[in-house]
Amino acid sequence: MTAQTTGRQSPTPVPAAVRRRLPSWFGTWEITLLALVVLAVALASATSPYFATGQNFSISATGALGLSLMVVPMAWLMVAGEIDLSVASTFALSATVFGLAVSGGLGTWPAIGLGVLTGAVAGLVNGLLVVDVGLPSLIVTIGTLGLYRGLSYVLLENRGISDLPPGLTTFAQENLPGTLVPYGFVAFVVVAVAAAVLLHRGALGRAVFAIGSNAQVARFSGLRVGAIKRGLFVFSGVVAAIAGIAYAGYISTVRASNGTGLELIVVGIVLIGGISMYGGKGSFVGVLLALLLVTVLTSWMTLGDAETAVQYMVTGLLMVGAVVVPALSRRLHMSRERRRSAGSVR
Amino acid sequence: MSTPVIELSGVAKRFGGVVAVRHVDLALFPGEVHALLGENGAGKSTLVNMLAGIHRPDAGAIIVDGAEVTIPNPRTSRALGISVVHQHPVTFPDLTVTENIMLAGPAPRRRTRLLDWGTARRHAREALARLDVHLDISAEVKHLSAADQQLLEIAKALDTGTRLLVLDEPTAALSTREVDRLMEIIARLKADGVSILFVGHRLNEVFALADRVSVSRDGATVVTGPAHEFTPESAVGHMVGRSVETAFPKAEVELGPARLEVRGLSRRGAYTDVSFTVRRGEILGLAGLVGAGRTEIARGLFGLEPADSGEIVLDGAAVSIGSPQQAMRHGVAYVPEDRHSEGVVLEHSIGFNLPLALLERRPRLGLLSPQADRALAGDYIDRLRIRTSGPDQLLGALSGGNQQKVVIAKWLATDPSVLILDDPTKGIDVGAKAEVHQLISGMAERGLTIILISNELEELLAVSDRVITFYRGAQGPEFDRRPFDAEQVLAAMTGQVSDVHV
Repeated sequence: MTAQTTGRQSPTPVPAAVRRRLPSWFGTWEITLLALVVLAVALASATSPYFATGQNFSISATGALGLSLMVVPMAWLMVAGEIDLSVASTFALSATVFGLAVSGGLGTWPAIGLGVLTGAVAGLVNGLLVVDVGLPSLIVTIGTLGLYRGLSYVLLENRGISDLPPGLTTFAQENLPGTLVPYGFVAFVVVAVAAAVLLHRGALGRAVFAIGSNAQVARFSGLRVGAIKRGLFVFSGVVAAIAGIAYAGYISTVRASNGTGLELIVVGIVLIGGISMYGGKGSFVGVLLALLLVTVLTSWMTLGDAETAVQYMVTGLLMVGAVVVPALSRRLHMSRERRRSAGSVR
Repeated sequence: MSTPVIELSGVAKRFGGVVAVRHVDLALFPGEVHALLGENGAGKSTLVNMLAGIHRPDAGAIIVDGAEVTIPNPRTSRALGISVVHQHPVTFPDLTVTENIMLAGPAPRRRTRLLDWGTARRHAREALARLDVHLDISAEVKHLSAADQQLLEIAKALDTGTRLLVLDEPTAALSTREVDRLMEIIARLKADGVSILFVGHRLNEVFALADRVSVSRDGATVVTGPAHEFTPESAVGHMVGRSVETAFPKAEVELGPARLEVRGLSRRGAYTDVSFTVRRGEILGLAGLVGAGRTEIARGLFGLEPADSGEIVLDGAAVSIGSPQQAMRHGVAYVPEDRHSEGVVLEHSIGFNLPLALLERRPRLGLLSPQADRALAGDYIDRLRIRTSGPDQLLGALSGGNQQKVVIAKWLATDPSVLILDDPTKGIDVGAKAEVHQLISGMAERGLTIILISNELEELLAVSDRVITFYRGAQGPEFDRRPFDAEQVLAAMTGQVSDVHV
């Protein structure tokens, strides 16, 4: 069967012309997410007078910084067909090292450096175990999830370090002077835009898509599959460290329990964003929309005094929906195709 | 002849928008060997699956003993006396021969409903005796050779009620001797009055065997007749829809200076002491059986599985190639053996796949230009005549031959000086093969150094300037003057001649 015949004869629900106009990074899934965001914003604004205010935006954006930052490398890793479940533990461990360094009298920047180095090493350990030992990243990072969290508890026990540098707390809690835009939000936007452009238009992003689609083909095309994957794990660790330190500044405390369970929300957002669990597919724009959707819903529920348990449930439902809806629609599409084709031959 | 055992009348089948079988008429008589020929994608396997009860025709009728039947599942197919041996063995590798044969039909049970192992073993022995093959019935199937597994498939498929045996490309994995054995079995079954449908595209076998021949093209039977009315050329003509003049155009090329030299290259467990020189514009063929070490040598030169010892010399200077990146820096490119798992990303577009081998040269954090990618893809689509709707088409939607052209284009885009082609026409149809051969010849004309590996000896001998044989990892005789003597090359490949330089 040649290509032309398939192209001409296959009846698809979306006309070819329309499909061609949609770029790869903004397809039907992204449109659906955008519609959900608009719907959520409209409902939230209608039910709560406090939702659509600059104040609420500022509070929500400040609170979501740690989570938002970690979503960026997770999206990259999952496009490459890997996953890092140890991010929230690295987040706590790096903050712990940073906090201990500060209370030990180290300056702010050297202490941040030490914390980020901790994250890099934590990521490198994951990378070495996955790439060089050849273990599945799901299993490796479940292991290091426990290891890094445990290490934080060993170092800090149940203490909290609250005497943090004022520069950090200002960055993590305050807005740009005279505006309602948090410092952290600006930092996140810079990181997110760079990550999005690089993933969809950069040489590295193209390599990551190729690796996630078929690592063997990537290797046979001369791409350094191992080095790139290792690099992504280190990137994940470094960003988790920065997020953890920023979060410590936001709540003004370093505790070994910081960010417990956050990894599932991070992974959830990436999945809701439409990135395939099996790698090679998805768009960063979708992930950003999913992040926006979850943040809007969280803010709405917080304003409505919903319990944290409910908030977890809603994120969970969205996650299941993100996997179920495309699978169902594909199945429906296929059975409709079958019936139509059977009819037309007779 | 008498009435047909089974007759297909105007059957059709489509999958989604793709018509796999358009209109097939086929009558199979008792005691005849009927060959069904066609290119890949001609609808042969779909036809087999309809007889096996895996697919149901959308239109037309299947007639058994003059009555129209429906075959909703494989069990019904078997009950009608149809035994199907599929192209790829469908055995359970971790179970024994006895268990595999037992699972092909209803398992024998005792009154207690427990399995009757004694009867199962007896059945297995009988099934193998019917074919006169000797296999250890308690051996696990994964320990059998490919040929024995194929025979087991036939033993499984046959039972005492078999009236039609369908063999879907049964000889693909077999050596010449094993094919002879299969031929004997077919002759015996034929004498017993079993009708045999032999589906394939290796022509020599077909003509040695068949009473009648049908050719299918684009999902329809285009011609049916007694085998003696066909020649291999006329059959190929019907398969591609035009007569193929010269399947292998080989241009005469003025050879340049030595480009690649290999001295004493060895890799433990793969090949030992390999030495050869290839010049610019030359096509060097590596001949050998599967497992002779040819692919391993290619991968050694490309740095995927570097050699343990020996020297690689490019343009007179010794180089070390320890990774694909190093190989590419020295202008070495490798078109791998397995297109789907090593060559292209099926779920992405031509525009995505074509620049893949160029990525390593780009700055890590640099940006790509979608316009440039599309232009590159468009350029190669024109130059290699890749049949597609455009650079945005997914690789998975292309035919095998066009996918292979994309793999070749991906490497040509890196502007290599040494191109290693590992079985570049595997699984692609006759028309596309000729185009690939033309392409290879054209690249040599432009001064590229080419190393060709092929499992089709005919192709290797037609396209190469020089042929080196390998047998079990050791370098054998070299043939450096066209036209090559196929029998001598074959003897060297199978280890029957061992003196170097003929």
